[in-house]
Amino acid sequence: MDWSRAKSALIVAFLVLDLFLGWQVRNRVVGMEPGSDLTVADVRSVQAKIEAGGVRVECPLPRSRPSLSYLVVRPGTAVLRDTQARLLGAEDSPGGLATLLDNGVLIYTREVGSHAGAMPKNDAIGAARAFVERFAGRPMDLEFDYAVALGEAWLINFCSKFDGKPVFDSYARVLVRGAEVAEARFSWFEPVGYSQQRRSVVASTDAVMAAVAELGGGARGQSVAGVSLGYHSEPYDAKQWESVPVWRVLFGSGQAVYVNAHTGEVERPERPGR
Amino acid sequence: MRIPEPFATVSLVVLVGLSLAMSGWLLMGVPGTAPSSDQPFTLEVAEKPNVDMQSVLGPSRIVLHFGENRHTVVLRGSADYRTLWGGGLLQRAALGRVSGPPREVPVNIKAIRSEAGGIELLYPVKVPVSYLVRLWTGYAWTGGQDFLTDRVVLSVAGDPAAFAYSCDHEKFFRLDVTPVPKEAAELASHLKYMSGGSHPRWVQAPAEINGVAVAEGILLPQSGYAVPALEVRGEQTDPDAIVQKFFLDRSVVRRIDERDGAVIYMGGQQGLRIYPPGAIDYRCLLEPEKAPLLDYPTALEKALEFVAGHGGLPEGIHPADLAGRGRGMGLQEVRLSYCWRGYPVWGAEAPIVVGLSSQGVGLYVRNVRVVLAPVNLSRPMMSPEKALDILSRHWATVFPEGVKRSVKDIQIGYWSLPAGETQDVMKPVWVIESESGLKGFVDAESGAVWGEERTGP
Repeated sequence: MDWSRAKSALIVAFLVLDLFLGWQVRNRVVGMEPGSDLTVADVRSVQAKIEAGGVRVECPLPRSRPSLSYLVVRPGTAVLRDTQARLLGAEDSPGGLATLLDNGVLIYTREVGSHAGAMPKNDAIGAARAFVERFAGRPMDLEFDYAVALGEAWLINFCSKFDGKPVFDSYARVLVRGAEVAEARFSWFEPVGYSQQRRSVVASTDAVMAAVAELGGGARGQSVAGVSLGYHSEPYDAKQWESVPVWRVLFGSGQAVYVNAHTGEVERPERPGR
Repeated sequence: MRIPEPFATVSLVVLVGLSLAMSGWLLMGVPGTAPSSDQPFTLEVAEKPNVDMQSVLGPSRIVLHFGENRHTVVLRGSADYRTLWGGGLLQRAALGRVSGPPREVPVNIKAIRSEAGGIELLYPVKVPVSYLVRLWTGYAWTGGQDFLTDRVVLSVAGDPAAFAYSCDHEKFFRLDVTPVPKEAAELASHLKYMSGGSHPRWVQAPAEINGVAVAEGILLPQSGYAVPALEVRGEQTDPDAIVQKFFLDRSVVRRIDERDGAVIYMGGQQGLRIYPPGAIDYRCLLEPEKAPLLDYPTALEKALEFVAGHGGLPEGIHPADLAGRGRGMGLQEVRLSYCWRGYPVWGAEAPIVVGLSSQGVGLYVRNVRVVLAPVNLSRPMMSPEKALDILSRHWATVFPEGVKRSVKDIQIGYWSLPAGETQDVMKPVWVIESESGLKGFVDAESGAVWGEERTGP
């Protein structure tokens, strides 16, 4: 037998087998790498499909698919207590009631006088920003997120960021009625660090489709006002927990749907063993 | 072109090694890249763990009658139990050949209990007699009418027979058995040896203790009988090691650290809570089912296979007649407990609960304590008569409308606290069951009544 020839044949056979296996392994591993970006054509195609269902898309849909880990957060109750103290005790306290709920949300309300209609949007944002900077301040470091018109009032939402990504559950929502802040709601979760391996996120277009499907018939006539990638989790009465990467699909009515950016499923609250 | 020989050899070895490594990765799963695991555990497992049903559904107590009101009780886990049941001596000698249907015949059980060589097998739960016969003999039941039983009386002398108590009919039915002469002689010899040995003696309970009627056939240990308390801890629980058993893809599971030290893992429809003392509570949301899924023995086997693969089978695991967790979830619950040296562990909840449906396992609670060492009680163990007196007074207070004041069983066990509660010591309890099916648990050291459990078929 010609061993040399047989060896060469085996080398060729194993080379082919290894190439095949390598491709399979690569396909498995690729899920941990950033996904390939959407093309303009991909986005347009999905946008057309959504609009055919009676939903307007009024914002650009992100085309990138970065890979993200989970974000570990813990309740920022102490920070909220400071905010509560400032709201109630500061020299320039606006008065009113500030209540810290068990779920870690601080609610502020105050009586405001009569008013002659809503302020212009930018003025309302300015008033809300001044209020938030005065009473929330650092470490919440909130940034303007979105504004929703509610008749004679504006609901202005600010959101905290970690490593440039919004943490949707760390927010301040301020209701500006007339020219005054009438209500505010603060929530703050302190980021601890990342956990889990990084995984590429699903396409923003898939998330929008899932969000529209979640609203069902209620989506018709609505508009998609914003699609952004960040972190979200239900608040827990716990020491700390993992917040997952989500696509937040914001509709024109102010309704937000959170779509798990790893699984593509809409996030719904649930809890075992209770 | 000809490849140089040494280079060809090295290349071939490298290529073979590479292919083996990549095949392994693909088979075992490249870390963090497994497919979505948002699925319940199916009831069909590719590789069935080895579950010894003879042992799981063996009698919890074997009562041996030596005549002249001399008896002993052999507990699961003892050397005698291993000889009589684990080694298969009793099955071969007295139960290996069961022929014909069960017959309702007049039988004097009292006489069997008083004669030397009478044997009683007491089961922890009611089991279809057909299933027991299949376990004893190894062949399918062809005996006709089936019924639930929890007690089988064997008469090995004279006219050999097994009398299975029908819980449905509240009477004994005779099963004809044909002993194998050689094995029967070996059994008789072993019983003779035991009757003369230093085994703890048990005596027939009086017909009435402090005004409470006691059913015939209940045996009580002679004075001086004592069992220790047990120093225990929860099972070792490295949360990250446990979670791998429940979620194939950890990367889609989120972790919540509770303030009390419990850790929750959630992924899709699945949730797993790991309590700091070492218990676990797994749930998977399944579609509700109306009809029962499986007959009890099959459900039991499926549940045991699941337990074996998710924490292992604790020593002396057996079905338990205790409350479960998560009733009303539309699942078929199998409740299990375990033993320390044959003494069963009781509690307000069954230590192990598996909830099954045709879609898979929807519930798994595991609250097993690991025994570190036996420890002496701080005072002498209470007598069963005293325990019965305490329980009788307690029931009179708790159930002013009255409980049937007659006792059908008295045994010793250990009391385990519910999942999530830290327990350093498990204390022995007298477990007293009334004719109405109410079980009471009396701390054998302090006399505290730990709770009542109303059991049913």
